[in-house]
Amino acid sequence: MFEQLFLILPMAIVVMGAFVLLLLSKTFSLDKLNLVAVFFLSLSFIIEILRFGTTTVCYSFPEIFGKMYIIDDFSILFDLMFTAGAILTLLINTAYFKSRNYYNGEYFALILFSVFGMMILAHSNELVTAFIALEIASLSVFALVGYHKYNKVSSEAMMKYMILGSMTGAFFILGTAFIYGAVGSTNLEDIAAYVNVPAEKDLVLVLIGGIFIMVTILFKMGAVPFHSWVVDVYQGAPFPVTMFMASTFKIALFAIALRLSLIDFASLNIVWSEILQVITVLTLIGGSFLAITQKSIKRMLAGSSVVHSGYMLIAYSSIGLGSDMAAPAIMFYLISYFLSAAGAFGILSFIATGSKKMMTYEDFKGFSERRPYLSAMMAIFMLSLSGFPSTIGFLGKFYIFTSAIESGQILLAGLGIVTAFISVYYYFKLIAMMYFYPSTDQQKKFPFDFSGLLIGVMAMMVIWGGVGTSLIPFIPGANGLIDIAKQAIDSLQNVL
Amino acid sequence: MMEITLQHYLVLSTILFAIGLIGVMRRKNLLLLFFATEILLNAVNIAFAAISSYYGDLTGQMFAFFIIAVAASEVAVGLGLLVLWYKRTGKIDLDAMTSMRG
Amino acid sequence: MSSLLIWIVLIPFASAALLGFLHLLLPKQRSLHALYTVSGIAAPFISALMSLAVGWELFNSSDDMMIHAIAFNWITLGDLSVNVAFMADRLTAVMLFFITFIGTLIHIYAAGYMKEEEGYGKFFSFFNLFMGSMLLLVLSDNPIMMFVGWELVGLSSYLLIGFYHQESANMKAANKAFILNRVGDFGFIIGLALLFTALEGTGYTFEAIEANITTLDSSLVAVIAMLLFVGAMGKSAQIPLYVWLPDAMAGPTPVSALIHAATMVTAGVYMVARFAFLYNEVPQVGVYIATIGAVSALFAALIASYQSDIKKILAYSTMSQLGYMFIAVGLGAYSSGIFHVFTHAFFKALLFMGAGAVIIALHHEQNIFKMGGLKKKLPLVYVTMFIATLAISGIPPFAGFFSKDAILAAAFASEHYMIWGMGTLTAMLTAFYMFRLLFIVFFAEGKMDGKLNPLPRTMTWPLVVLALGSTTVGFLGLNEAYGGTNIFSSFIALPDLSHHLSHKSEYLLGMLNVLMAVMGMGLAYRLYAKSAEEPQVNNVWRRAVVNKFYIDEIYDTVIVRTLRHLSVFTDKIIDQKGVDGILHVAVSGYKSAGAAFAFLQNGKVRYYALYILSGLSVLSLLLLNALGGM
Repeated sequence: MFEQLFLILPMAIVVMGAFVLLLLSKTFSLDKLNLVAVFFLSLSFIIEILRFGTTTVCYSFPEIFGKMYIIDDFSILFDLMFTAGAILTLLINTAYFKSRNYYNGEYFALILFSVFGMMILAHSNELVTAFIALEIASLSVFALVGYHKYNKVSSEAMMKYMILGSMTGAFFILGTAFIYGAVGSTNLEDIAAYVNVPAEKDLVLVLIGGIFIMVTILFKMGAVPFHSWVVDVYQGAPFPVTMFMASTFKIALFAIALRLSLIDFASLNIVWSEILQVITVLTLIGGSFLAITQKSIKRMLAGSSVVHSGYMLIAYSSIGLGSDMAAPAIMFYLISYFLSAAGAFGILSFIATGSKKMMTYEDFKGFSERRPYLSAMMAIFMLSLSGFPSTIGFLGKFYIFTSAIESGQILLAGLGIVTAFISVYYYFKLIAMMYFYPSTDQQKKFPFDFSGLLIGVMAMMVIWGGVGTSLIPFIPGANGLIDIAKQAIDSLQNVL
Repeated sequence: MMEITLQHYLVLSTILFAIGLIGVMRRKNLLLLFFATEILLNAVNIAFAAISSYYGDLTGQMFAFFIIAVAASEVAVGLGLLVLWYKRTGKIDLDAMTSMRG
Repeated sequence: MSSLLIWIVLIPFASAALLGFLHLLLPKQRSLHALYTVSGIAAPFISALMSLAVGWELFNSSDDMMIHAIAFNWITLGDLSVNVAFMADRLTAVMLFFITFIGTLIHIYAAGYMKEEEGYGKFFSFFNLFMGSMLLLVLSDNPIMMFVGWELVGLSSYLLIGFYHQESANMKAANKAFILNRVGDFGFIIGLALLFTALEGTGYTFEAIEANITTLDSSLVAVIAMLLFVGAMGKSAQIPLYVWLPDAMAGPTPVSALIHAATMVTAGVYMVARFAFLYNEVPQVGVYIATIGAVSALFAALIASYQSDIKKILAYSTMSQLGYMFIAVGLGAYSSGIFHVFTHAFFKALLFMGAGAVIIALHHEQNIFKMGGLKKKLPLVYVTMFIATLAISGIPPFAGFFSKDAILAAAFASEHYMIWGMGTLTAMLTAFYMFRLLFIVFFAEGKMDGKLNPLPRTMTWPLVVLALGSTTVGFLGLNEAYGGTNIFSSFIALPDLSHHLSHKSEYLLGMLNVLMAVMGMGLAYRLYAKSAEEPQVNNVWRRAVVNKFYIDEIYDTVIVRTLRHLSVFTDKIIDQKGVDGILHVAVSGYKSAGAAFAFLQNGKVRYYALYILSGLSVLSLLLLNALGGM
């Protein structure tokens, strides 16, 4: 009994933290609430990090829930990413929260609820559980997007996201119903057993159900043509939320997507890959179209996040074609994208703390004169996002393209490289603005605080991961990270 | 008297789902839009319940309850925002929400 | 013991980082000077102590003993696995000893020399960075790490040459040094790449290369050896890549003493000695190296005889002495070459530091014809400089005599009489220009009025220590002909190509060298001891020499201007009209396509839902298509 409780302890801590925050929201100051939230997340993070690599695959409360809730290295690694992402989001934006008047305790509770949802999503071994987990996470994120409730743009973004989100959510559950109808169970292992026994069975229902489920996942990832909400919602949401969505929430979707394609539809993957290739091509091209026309940095980053989903989809479609490298490549790319994008959004929110402007390219003219350190870090993140060598982004792309070539998708890899070149245009434009134009404003004295320090650490990690050494003991370099990812993927494939 | 089989339930469910989808695309009134998303989810509920009874397996019906809960919470969040929006703008027209584009 | 190797390298780097950080944080704070001094000097001093320990360990063990230390794995990509690893054998121990020992002395000296300067902390930070890089270069156990050290010393040399960066001439000198070194490094890296490709991943350490070198085709080895030597040419200022060295004197004098005389410029010699196993495979390349060395030695000595800037004279003298070293390593007399590196470090550092003391005393005057009569005013500097001059001119029993004698004997014994002749001629010129300097600065009547700057003790005591060294270290290499056992070459145990020479010829050669030196000395005495006027540039020969044979101008016309025209052409015509034009069309085309795509992004949710549904339909059609194919 207690063993079972211990298995779910990390998630339990997060959800308990959320309730504690709700209780405390009226009595504590914003700073203290932030600390409480970080405390609960860190507690969960520590438990997970101790557990990673030591547990064998097992199920929580099997006599009650059956095999709904799985605990393996794969899900633990994702849990680590979620909690780390949430901790970074909260800490980097400490100053931002205080500069805005609409933040209160419920905000932190919502963050914790959504992390809870994502954790369940990573652990779910069953489609309805996955749906509920996805809805828990999404509903919290909906509310977070509209958190600036007196701002028209914020509310509008939330409304758009919510309507489209609940519509596509219905697709997920419809797909589940199809599969349930065909298989008679929604447990992933049962479905896999059904699919993988080559009897005279009709797989059409399962395939159609799979398509519906995939639409929901692709929608939340922001793949073209399900991308249209991305730019608007990213723009409308407050900076910390945009950061949270672009980095952490996106990881959660790949958690379920990877689990689905590695366990469940393993023998249908050839069919998937053909379909995914089309989506990937559309996403790469459409995403860079979106990004290249933007004037606001936030919208540009939103557009480019679509392109990054496209890169990961390249590897995702390689899975079905038998590339062993593809799944670890996606996990590595998620880490690299998380670091770079969270850093870039972090800097934006750091700047936004002091002003309420929208931040276009023009506003960054001569930024390096005003804030030399921040602009250097911004340049590092831009380099990493564009996949410049010696940053972690380069290695991420390198693994992705390797997996594509390994599975014979040469043309797709070529397209990926072309879009990477195009992305240089809109990322380097920002660097050029910062460094090659004179400043229009007077130099202002900005405080250098904890948020700045954290962003600096992330910039170091971006370089660190790109150089690819394990210079400091106990801290894995890039090759260490890819090994960890492989270990996680292996734990997942051992199930069957 | 024709017997009502699984097919019929599933066809009903599909029709309802299509109605829901068209609702999402055609309606400008936010309230009706939320109705449409409810219809989408409930269409699936019907399918779940029907398949569940077809297999003689209770899990499907159980899922239906979960889905109802999810649908309710979605609407709760949505309506909260809707009220706020209405108070400020006096409108619940979806097409007015176009301040972000491009 | 092995972890000591890591610390030897790490401590100067750590000190550089600390000082650099402090300097960035509090750039104007003068009260930190004491801390800068202590930390700046402590780092090379600690390294020196540890180097002694390493040297002692090696001295007490067999001559093929090597100490290894692996810090961490740097790169693992398929077959390629490179460790950040250090290795010390006896060659390394010798290099370590004089780098850290002389480095410490020059750091102490610099504390006096630089004390009035702004950027005191920055100077020590760069100086320690250099120490760390140089130690990395000599301690690395594979050529890749060695190349990292090689580049880092280049970088710190660049930073220090341009230390007085307010003047654009100094920045030009720094750039020149950097660019010419890049030319050399290009050869070096190509050579390394070729070497590793040829070895087909059989290992990347020096030992592994040595074990497999015989499997390679000897013509390929010759190409590799040549390319590696191109790197040495750049770093060690040999013809034709030498023009940066005289200009590098724009840096502070301690920098000239440490980097551009005693240590960094000898990296090329060290590299050739380190690859001795490779150069022994291809002796014909060695002869080429020796020839370049001999020509450089003579050429530089000629120019030095006509210069009037005290530091430039010493710079050309350094180039000339480096030529000697290359004669030695080229002809396979590696231990003699390294021995000359060793002794040269002492007396050349001493000369530079003495020159720096004179410069400071005379309020930054560098023209020797404006000095004079300093014998009475700066007695300590005079005595030590005199010892160093005797040493470099090759007067026994000072250090330079033994090392230079060994090199010339090797050249004679290997029957390369042309090279030997040039070396002997250079020996005379060396004595001439060095005594010319000494007589003009210290003997000839003074032209300076006014008080001299007082010299702090930190600037004078290192001179005394080095003078002692210049007098005595030569005896380490006392060979059999003179009754010694050549401790140095038996300690260092390099794979020399030996040529026997009878004792009688050795005596004769030694006497000839001394005679040459005395002749040069006498000539200098006759011309300059009494009075020295800056000579009129009146004939063609003299004009050519004073203007350094117009090599800089020739390089400027032939290479620099041509390149500039070419780059202007590519910039204005090819790039702006051609590439940019195409790029603009491509970008604007893409952007307008993007704008069309963004048109779909009209902000209306209902349309967004429509896109999703159409996407779903497309997916379903694709699925249908796929199912049809199944």
